[in-house]
Amino acid sequence: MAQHLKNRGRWLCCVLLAVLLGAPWYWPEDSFGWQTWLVPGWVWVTLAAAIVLSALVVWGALRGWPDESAD
Amino acid sequence: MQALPLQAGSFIFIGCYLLSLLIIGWFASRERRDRSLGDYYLGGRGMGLWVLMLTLFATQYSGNALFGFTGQAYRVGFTWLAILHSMIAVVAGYLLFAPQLQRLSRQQHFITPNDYIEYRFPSRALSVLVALCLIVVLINYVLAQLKVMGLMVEGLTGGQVDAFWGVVVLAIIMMVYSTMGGMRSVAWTDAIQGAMMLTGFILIALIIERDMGGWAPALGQLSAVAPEKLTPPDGRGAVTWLSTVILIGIGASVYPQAIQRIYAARSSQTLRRSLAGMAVLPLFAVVVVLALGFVAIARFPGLEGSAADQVMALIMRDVLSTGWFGQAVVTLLLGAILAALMSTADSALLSLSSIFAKDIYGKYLRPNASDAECARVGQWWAWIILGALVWVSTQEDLTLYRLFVLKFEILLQIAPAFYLGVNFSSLRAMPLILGLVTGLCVAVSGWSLGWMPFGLHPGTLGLLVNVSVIMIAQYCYSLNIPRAKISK
Repeated sequence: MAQHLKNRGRWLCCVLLAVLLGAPWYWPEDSFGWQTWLVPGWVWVTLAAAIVLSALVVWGALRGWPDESAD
Repeated sequence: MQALPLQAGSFIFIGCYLLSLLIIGWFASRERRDRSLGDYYLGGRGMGLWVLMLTLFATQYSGNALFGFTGQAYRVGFTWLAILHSMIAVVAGYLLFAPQLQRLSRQQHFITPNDYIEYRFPSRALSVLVALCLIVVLINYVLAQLKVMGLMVEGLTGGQVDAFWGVVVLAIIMMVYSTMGGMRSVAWTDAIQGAMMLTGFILIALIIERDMGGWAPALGQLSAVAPEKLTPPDGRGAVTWLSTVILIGIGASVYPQAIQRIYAARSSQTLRRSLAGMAVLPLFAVVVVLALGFVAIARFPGLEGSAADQVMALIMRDVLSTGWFGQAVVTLLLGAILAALMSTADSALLSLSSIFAKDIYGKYLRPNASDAECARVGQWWAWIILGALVWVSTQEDLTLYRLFVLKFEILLQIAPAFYLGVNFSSLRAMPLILGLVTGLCVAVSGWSLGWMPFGLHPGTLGLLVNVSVIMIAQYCYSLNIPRAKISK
């Protein structure tokens, strides 16, 4: 039962992370007074979120998330 | 559109490439161990890490990825970055059900996606409904690939070769090698195509940097040419963004042909390692494809509607003018695109053929038919359906992105059967049927009316309704059945 709940918790965690990192990220352009390079800051921050999401998926795949009994 | 200024060497390379597909099909046919459906449709369930990863990559990145994604990036600008998150979300989606499904498929010898549905929910109504949805989706999928093949043949020859005849020749080659080797030849050609596609993307990115003025100046011009394409999505746009991630992330993970590749994996560990690789690939492939679309905004202004789907061809024309290296890269990329289209279409056709052979012919029309007979009937069915679709593909007038979305509206509604079915053991068939029917009604009627409430795609709205109905019906069901019985 504990393992079952743990897996359900991990399942929910994965879904929430995917939604959070899969969303567009807004960035106040002049907040630090620097000139945005080539494209607006929100594009770079959103790309960074995609890289983090990809890294988490790789980690999850290799670690057996969200179903620990997988391998 | 004018013909691409290709030299004879490029056409010889493409011809040799097409010939090599037939040779691969012949080798794959020699590898067949027996006449069973498992050997023909799943390659003997022995797919290793690299072939599995590249065939999954090639299945997910079809003609849409090259023509449709660049076209949409050109049309809507940076808000189409949503597709990058979507393609990573596809792999995240796999993690939620694929490893468990792979283990089950080995134990129960599943061949088609519907085999799992029948095993998990012994309900004829649900299995028929899912089979119908899968057939509609697969037909739509093949149609989209054929349509791009037609566009490509016309683009390559400047309209000198009619799209119809180009598609006919390519379809015959495709059917010959997939009929000979089944899943093996499809997966092997996928693997070669995936590798070629990745190499082509990297080389084209280098050429734009070295010979075409560079990425930075091209992107820098965007704020002057089309500033509206740099703005972040507003509230409604953010909802559409998330809706796209759900639509494609969940929808693409239950492609019938992708599910059959999950069944075909050598082991659960092989599958997980392949998925890890798959999660990184969008950062190269999708980013380059999108960047090409963004660069094209400043380079080729004024393209609207379905004309924007041609930006990839326009970029290739520019790359060709940079010299012999550009010629070589474009030739490689054209071969890869052609193979992407053909292998995606043949994967879908193989899946369609397996559903007809196993779920319809072997189950309802001739229940006592042998595996060899079912496989033979499936092959004939694939030839007939392909012939019909080749004709239809030259009649339709939808833009590529619209074709791309239609199949997700339906796929999304069958996703709960896999995602929830694998993870929630108490789920029963009736709540799923109610959810599926309601979700389909919402999604298809919304799609046909062009309805997007709050920026949500009709398919995503259908999924929300679908899951809500499942939860309510499952709760009502659990009230009427003693708890011990549900656990059992």
